[in-house]
Amino acid sequence: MASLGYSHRRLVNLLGPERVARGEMERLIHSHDFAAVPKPAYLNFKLVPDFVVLPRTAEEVSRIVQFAIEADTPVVPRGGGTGFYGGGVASRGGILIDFRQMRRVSKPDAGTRTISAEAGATWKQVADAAKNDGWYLPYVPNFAPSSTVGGWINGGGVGVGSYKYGSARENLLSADLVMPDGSQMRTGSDKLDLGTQFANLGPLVHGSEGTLALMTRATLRVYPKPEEIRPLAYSFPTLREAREVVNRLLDSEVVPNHVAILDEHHVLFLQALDGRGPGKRAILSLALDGPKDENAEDEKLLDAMVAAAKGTKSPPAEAKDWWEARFYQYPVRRLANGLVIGEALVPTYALGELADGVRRITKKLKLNTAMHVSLVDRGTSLVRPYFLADENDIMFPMRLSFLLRFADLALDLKGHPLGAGLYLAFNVPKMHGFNARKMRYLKRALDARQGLNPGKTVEMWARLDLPILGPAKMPPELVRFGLKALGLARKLLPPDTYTRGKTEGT
Amino acid sequence: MALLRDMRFLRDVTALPAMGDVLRDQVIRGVFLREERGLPRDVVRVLSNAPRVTVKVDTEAEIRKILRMIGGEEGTQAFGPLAPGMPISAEDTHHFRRALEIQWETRLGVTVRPGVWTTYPHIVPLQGGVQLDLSNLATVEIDGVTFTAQAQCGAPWKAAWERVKSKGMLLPVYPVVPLDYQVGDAVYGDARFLSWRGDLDDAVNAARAMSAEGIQVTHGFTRVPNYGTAYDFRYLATAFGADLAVVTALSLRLRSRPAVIKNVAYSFADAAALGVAVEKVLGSGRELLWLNLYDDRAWSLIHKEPAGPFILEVGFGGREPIAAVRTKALDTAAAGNTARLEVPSHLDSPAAQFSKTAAGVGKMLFVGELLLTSRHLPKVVEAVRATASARGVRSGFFAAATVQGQVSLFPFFEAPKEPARIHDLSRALWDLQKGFGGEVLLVSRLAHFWSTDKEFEKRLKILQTADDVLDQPNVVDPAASLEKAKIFFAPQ
Repeated sequence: MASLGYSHRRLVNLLGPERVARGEMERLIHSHDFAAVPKPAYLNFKLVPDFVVLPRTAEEVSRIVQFAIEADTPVVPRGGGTGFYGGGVASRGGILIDFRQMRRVSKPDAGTRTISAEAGATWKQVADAAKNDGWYLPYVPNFAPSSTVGGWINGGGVGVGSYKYGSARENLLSADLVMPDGSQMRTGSDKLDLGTQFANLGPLVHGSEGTLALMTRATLRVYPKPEEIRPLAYSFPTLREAREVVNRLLDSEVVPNHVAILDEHHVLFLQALDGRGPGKRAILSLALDGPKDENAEDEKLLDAMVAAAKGTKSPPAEAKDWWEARFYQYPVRRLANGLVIGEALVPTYALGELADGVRRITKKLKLNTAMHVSLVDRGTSLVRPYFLADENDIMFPMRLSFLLRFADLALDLKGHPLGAGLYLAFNVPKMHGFNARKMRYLKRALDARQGLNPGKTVEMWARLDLPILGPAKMPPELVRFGLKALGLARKLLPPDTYTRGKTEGT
Repeated sequence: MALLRDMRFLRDVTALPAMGDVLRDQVIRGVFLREERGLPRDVVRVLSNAPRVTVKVDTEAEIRKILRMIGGEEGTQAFGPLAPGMPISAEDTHHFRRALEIQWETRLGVTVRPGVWTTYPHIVPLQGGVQLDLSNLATVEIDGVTFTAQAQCGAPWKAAWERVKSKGMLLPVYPVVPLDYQVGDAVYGDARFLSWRGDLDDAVNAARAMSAEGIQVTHGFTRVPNYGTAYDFRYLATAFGADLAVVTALSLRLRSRPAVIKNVAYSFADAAALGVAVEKVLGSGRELLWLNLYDDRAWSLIHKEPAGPFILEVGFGGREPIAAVRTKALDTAAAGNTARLEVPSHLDSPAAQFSKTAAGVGKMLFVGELLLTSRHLPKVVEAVRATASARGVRSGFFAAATVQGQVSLFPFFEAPKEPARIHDLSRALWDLQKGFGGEVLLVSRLAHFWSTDKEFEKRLKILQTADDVLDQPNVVDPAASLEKAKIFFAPQ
């Protein structure tokens, strides 16, 4: 492995001094994502990269990868840092590529109904570019103002708008990639959706968390601008009643752009934070997009469904507030100086069981939890429970057992956790069984050096190498055992009280 | 003799991209037409080979048995029992490894025969080995709670459609060309299933498969989509299943069936008027179930009611009030039509009639699919007609458009299904698409051969790597090698 001084000089030669960061502060900032990171993680993984580099072109990314091969150092891609499980942080140091200076967005092409954006452009930027030209990009992540094109596509691509328009995957025509050997490749056509023809490989990149290739640009679908976007909101005593309306909605032919439920605990946390919201009530937030006449008919039907479930319709201004809050869902992290989010896709029919399960886990681990649900398709919901936690608390790691228990609960209900990243890669063997091994083989076949975002997604590496055997691999069962043990220890501690005294009912 | 001068010149000429293409085209033509006189003997041998046996499997367990047998588990027994620590001399080791190598290279393979080919079968047949017929794997299980259906690959699409309908739901995809396909024909053959919101791949949650090692695996999750769970083997299985594993069933996402379904056909005098109407419908923001396009020839194959010469057929649903506003809006978007007809969709015709219609459609000669952006529809339709009339054959087309503004168009010709004719018409369509700057693309086996796109070549290499990983025993549709026969007789 090349010395850090030599590597720094070479990187500066490639990009110039202003786009290569070696200072401690820049490196520390890039050592975590949205997730709260327990301090012991810094012992187990080398989360702080050796360098942070900011390329502006795919050619530069290619040269960085070629240099990393020469220097035998890992390369880690990073977008907006809005992931939950460490997909965009280093596990063994190396060169961290921050894509946020690759943020050019083309004008939408009216003929092909597409828009091209570089990997570091945020989704809001792309949606705005489409909107400015009279087009509509309706599928965006919940962190659209800061989540980047490359980051979300690599992370699974499910979020706002998925119910009607599908995930980012269904709307990705092609992606430009830099492969582990530094070569460049395009996964499909930027004018036509090749589907499964001409060896279209776009879907293979989707969800691979930057471990197979680095995405530098994506060509995406845009749609004609709808006549109207109509936000609606309804409140219910609990998530259970809101779920009844969702079940009726699924049986109907109403297809909103977005359907989300914020459970009563989340709304209560919001009240605890700054007094906003109706208190301990669940909120069903929807947005209808389409012709006005159809929206009006659909709204009437939804009103009737909600009335039958004893819900209350919120005034239009409030509905608009809830709709706009879809991109800013976690202000409540200020209650505890942090929060940890679980994420899973589960069959919608099992939402009740899942909510009960989450409450059971909450009770056992004595946490302050709440849950967001959004519909992905007729049968599937994206569920995001979270718990408040102070990441500086020495006992913080004990709460992480929640993530293990939640993932197991989702799998028991025939769903699956979403995302593996660095911290949750231990779920992959349980999710995919025999195929998990094949995934490791595929990673090794395409990235023989194991230099591209290594030790993640399909396997878990600790920071050290073992003599002869190479990277120290963390057996999934051992990680599971450790998290279970932490959960047992957590039971001995007093319950969390982040909202005590700030509101009633906690 | 100036041999070097001649050689150098010839090498340079053949290295010219244009000449390279000519040579490549000649080889592709020769292979496709099996021109025995013009091809080397080894090539003819490969093209003349065929699977030794076709097995109609009744259970997935039978597929496992066949894969394990062909995968060489029994073959290794031929070398005798190998106990741990058994001494093997260096010479024995060499022979043992060589024998394994030969077995590896000459191993037989397994392929799956699709129910119906839209165009033409594989150009290079499986070299010996076993061909599987999955038509007895034909169950369709519906889960109304999770809005999913588990359809085995041998299930006729029409049966799946009817079964889902009987449960009050809607299968999200339908065949663009109304042939009597099996569900698995999209994996093993060239069937194109589409819906207003996307293609088959967008509607698949999971693919149940028998891996090359004979292990039953589920790629993806039967009840929820496979997003964000590391590498998407579900996609690989659906898209390239024929090369990587034996896919036995697909888990499909369903949608609820609207209370009222209307199917309205608008006739237009020319392709230009049809194109304008398609653009208007696409821009209307109305949610449809399908948007199909025909010319009068295609229409007459599936409907008795006269229409034409160009027809736009929209299927949509909703409650009464929604259906009413949609009808009005679509009537406005289709202004300029010469006739309006409300007819039941051919998809909903009785099974016997559907089969009969499919048989009629099956007599037509299809050579591939043209993918295009909707704005080029009129030009492409006219160009296809001109191509056909220049060759003295009648043509027609089935097409469907998606909400994304992409059209999938299958031209057909009233001509005998002769390889030379197929090649000629395919080549004409291939040449036709070149003038549209990448917004029109011919999709067919020959088109894949003709493509000189460097990016496609790179992707093929990645796909080959995936094949090596997922099909390690190399039994599922193994490559046909020209070297095969030589290995046995090569001097050791």
